[in-house]
Amino acid sequence: MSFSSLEFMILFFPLFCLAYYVMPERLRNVVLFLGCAAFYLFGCTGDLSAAVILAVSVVLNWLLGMMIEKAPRSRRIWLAVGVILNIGTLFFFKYAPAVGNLFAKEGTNVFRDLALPLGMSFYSFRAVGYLADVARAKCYAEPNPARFALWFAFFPSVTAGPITRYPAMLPQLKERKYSAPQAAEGMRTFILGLGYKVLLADRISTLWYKVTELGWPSVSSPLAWMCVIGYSLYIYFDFAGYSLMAIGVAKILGFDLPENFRYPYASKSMTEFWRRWHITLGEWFKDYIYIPLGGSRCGKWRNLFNLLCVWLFTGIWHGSTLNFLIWGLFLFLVIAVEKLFLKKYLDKIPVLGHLYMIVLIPLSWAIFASTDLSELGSLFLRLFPFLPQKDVFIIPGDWQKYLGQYWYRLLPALLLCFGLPEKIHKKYSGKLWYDVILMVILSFSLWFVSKSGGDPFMYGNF
Amino acid sequence: MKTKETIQAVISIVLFALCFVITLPFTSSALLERIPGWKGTEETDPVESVDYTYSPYVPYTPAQDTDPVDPVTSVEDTSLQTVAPDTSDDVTSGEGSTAAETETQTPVTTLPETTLPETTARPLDQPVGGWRTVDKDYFADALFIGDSRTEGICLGSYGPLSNAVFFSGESWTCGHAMTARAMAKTGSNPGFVDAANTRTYYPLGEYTLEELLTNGDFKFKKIYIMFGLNEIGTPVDYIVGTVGSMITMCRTLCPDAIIFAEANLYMTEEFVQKNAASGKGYYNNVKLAQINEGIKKFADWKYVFYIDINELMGDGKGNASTQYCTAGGAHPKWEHYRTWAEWFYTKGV
Repeated sequence: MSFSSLEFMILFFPLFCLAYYVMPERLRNVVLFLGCAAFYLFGCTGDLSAAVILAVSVVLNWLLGMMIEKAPRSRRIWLAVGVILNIGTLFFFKYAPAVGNLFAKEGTNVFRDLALPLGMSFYSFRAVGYLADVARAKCYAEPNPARFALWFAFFPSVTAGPITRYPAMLPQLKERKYSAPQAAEGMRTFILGLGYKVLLADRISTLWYKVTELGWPSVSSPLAWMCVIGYSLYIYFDFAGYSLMAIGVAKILGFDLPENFRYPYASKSMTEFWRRWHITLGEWFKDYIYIPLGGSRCGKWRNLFNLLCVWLFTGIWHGSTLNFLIWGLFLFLVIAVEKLFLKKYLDKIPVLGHLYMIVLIPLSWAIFASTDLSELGSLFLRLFPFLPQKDVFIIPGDWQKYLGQYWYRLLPALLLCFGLPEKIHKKYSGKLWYDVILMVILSFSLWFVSKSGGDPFMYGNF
Repeated sequence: MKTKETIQAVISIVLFALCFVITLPFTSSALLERIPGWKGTEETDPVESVDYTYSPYVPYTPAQDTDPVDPVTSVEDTSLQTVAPDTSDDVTSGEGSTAAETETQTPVTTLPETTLPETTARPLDQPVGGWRTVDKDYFADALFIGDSRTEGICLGSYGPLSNAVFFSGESWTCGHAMTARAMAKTGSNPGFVDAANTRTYYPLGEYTLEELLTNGDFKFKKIYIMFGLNEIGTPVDYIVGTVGSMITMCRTLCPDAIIFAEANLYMTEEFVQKNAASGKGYYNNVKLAQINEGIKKFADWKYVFYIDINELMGDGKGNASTQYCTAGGAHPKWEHYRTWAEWFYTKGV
């Protein structure tokens, strides 16, 4: 059930909020628990095995947390067991179909139809983070299994983040403050995210899919660039929109979730970009992979090795096809070069930094989006027409045709992707005129979702 | 201060809630339409209000022939025709006898032993004598009418159909094709270089379909028709009916031409799932198969023939194969439009 779906906005959430606020405060966690269960069950309609897997994961991780705390001498062993179970299960579901295709004979891949359970990429990381925090004595293991389950399967963030940390959520699970200003702010944040998703991301999404169907050898270079820029805008507004909606929903319920995007397209370097893009994922990799490996407090080569581990892991977390590994490697190379010498120039000369990122951001997403490597090769040849080309059969006037169809969708997205809406939101939230603007955004978003059914949230695929 | 903040917040919440209430008429009806079995669930697209002057095609049957001696005058001729594949392009000469004709024949002991009853003389889903493989010249008098997939064949085949005429376009429906004025063009040709120095198709001028079919310069002998996907939001009967009307239109305006009613290429499984997830559950291959079955019924294997690209590009499970088709869509990969074009070479009559 996507936050931008009518089922959520018109049915589930209003009814849930009614039940939640009607109940006395001491019972709201019970309502929340039931709501999380209902949300997840609805989300995996037709495949209840995902709900069973989540339930088993909750129980196992709760038990492991208790074991780590109760048996401090063998805490590393229990932590290792937890990491292997969580990450191993995640990689099994992600990679078994692809590996099966490689080794099984035609039509005998038993894992062909194996689907990644809803939210597993995110809750398995949450689980590992929790176990590591307990092992490092950053927090106590949660003795109450129901409260643990509530955090683990917290519906605003269970499917696609933000990746919350247990120590930050515990005080809110125990006691929350409720106020009309907070609920109103939650609604405003939700509406902003909804506008991002429905009015910007969904309107641009078809450009990539339409053009890729033409085949890159038939696409002119201007159209190829328009396409990758369109995809960059699409993925940003889709994911940032979702995160804002999750934060907004949680705020309405009295919770504060961490920020997940901080206008990353305003970055001057790839290093800075990944501190602004999917912040909770980056923080997770930093705290649980990079720093335990030694981080930057070691020699240059070891530091580079640590970075390589992080970015390869980032790549394979996102997907099981080879392009994701290449994408991770690409990011590592860029960040390594920045670390070695380039970043100080990019920071000193902002124009240089911004121009550098205007080229690199679409290129990195082009690798990310192209699951077929031959298509990726063709795309890069079209992006750089001065390279030796294979047979090219351009359809005359293609970029003009698509520009005519998409300019009024791309232009607002281009203007808004550098953080203007967030800055306006921060400064003017609460003003009546700003609420009126949000009402217009909400109304149009509801109309579009009703008319077109809406696109499923794209990052939910990971 | 806190009271003022609370009052402002309550006003904001009320305003946002008002938005939900105001938009309830269309959000609730959109929500209800997604409930299986609810009225209008299956088809949400409006039916085009096009004035069709052609009724859906009635497949040829021998009862339609009024000539008492037509089509078979000698048993021996019939038997020869049923056992030897006819290699002539002209299929209006009365070749191929039908079951009704055979049943009216008095069995003659002089029939060659290899004579087969008419009901088994024509292999299933094939013309009498089976398909024959043809060469490029076969398509010199061919017309392809269709939607973006046909358009893709036009633009992406690069050679095999460069002498055929295409009347097709992105998002075209059957009704649109029957009434629109659009550019007719040849299939793409790697040997053709236009003023912009790109290799592409050759534009033939703007026509309506009626003008194209009656234009003396073309004299089509084969007409290929594929529609159904862009209308999938409308009832199956409606879609099949419009295709039938187009067949009648072509048969009426171009009586010398045989018609190839094409099955719609299926969508990939991923595309079907994506559509289901976004509330377009009717965008599925089950419905497409129903449309294809309806179109197939127009095939009388005398004037109208049925061909199905899914025998090549399907995955055997009712979806398009991702070997040939883009995973997230309803089109072949660009390089496989040529494969599709070459497949037509194996469906000669």
